[in-house]
Amino acid sequence: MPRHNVEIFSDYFAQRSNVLTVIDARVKLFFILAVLVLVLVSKDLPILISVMFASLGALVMIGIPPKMVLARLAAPLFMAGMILLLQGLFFGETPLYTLEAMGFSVPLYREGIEKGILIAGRVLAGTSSIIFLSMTTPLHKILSALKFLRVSDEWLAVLAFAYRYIFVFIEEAQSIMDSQRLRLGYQGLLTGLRSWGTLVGSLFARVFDQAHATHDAMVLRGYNGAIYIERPQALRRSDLSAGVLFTSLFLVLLALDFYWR
Amino acid sequence: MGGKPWSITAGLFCVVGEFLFSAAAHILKGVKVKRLAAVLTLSVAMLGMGAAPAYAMHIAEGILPLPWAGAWYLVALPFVVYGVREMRRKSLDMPAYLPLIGMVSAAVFIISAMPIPVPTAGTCSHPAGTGLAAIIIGPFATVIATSVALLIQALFLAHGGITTWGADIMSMGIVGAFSGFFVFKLLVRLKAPLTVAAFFAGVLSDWATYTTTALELALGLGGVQGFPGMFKAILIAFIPTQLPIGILEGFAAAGFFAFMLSRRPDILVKLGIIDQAPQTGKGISYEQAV
Repeated sequence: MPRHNVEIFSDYFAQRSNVLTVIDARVKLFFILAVLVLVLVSKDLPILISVMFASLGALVMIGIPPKMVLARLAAPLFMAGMILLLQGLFFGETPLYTLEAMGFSVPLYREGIEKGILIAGRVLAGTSSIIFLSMTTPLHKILSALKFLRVSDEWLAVLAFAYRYIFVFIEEAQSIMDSQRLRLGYQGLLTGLRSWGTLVGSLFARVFDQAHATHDAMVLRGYNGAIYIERPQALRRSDLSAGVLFTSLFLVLLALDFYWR
Repeated sequence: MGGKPWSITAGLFCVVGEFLFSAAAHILKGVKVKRLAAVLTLSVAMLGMGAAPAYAMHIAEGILPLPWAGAWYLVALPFVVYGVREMRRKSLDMPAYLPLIGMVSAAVFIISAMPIPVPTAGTCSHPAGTGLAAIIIGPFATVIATSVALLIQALFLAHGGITTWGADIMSMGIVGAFSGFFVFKLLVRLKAPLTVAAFFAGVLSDWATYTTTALELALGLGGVQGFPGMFKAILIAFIPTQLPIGILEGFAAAGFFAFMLSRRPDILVKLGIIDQAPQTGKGISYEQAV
């Protein structure tokens, strides 16, 4: 897997030590969950834009390259555009602009566009806050916070196993696909379909073998059916300060939302 | 999906747009056809021109209003709770069970994030892999594997979301897994060959997943009042990508069985899918192939 992909699509940046990564995962998790609820109930675009810029700005401030942040945001940005368009075409009665396509004149409606902008704002604000969480919190800290929330140990173990082996299997699938391509395995529809099926079969065979190999290796190291997940420690003074700061920020956003409503 | 040259995209835009418009005109009577045609053609054009993958199966963060997001959580919760209990029980009998579910989650993650070119739409989409996973490890374990894969995707790929997690588990994990599992079981009971049963299980589980996603999106975006028109439009907008992707998913499931039966029947025996390895004598072993 190319290095830049690992940097974008993993907790690579969360492994660094900085002012945001050292904050206890529980504090960040509660804050983000509260922000997500606010994002869903808010009807004020400025609130949504503030959430988005605050989340992304904080990431840039701790030294994450803006292009990495934007790469993570690319898919939701595309979704937001789609939603905006769909709403503009489907809802409302007051034409705002008429699109000319293939001999058809199709009006975009003001009410739909307004609704679309709101939903697109929610998508971008919500996604930005999730990106904030995942780029400042390593997965093992998230697991620890979820353990604090009494999430089942078995479910957390599956999550830990899956995250550990995703990158292994991506490389495996990529190398199988590369070999197939070199042998013209995707030349023509039928050959391509056969190669695609073989790829999935090989991947699952590898999955099965790896599961047993991992289990055997873990038994040798004392695995008895329970995987160790870090127990959350008591909150430090700095975590409490961060909690107070986050709560204040949330209350300000909430007050502004009520005020503008 | 990489960006396409404008000329190619424009050509695809017209061809697919015309196809969609005629299909829409036939299927939708009484719906504002002009609007629908525009929605379809422009959405296809955007799919073709976009620089980002068309993550159509996962509902993005923030799209569903709070009541719908909460409702889908409530619907998915009993399946997840039962799945965890079943997983806990089985892991006592089979110690390697948790690593296996973890690895299957990783495979579901990869398959459902694997971009497949869809020439009819000039875009890429992705299969779900949950129908096949359900055949291999059972539907409830697949719900767990999917919930894990979806959470990782939401956190690290911005693919899906936390507020839409319940809805995504419902469409991919529950509907996808159970439809694939039951279609496979039914066809095997009707004495269909394993590869054929797997093919139809893969195809139908993919289409069922997309139908559910369209339903969730239509309820969330259009509300109960605007549901019928929105549902039909979203469903039809999915056709150019998901019709072929569903068939690809069928081939993936069939290919899995073809590969396993010829190279690794021992795995199918261990999973309890077949009683004993077929004595065909064909094919080389997996170890030899590697």
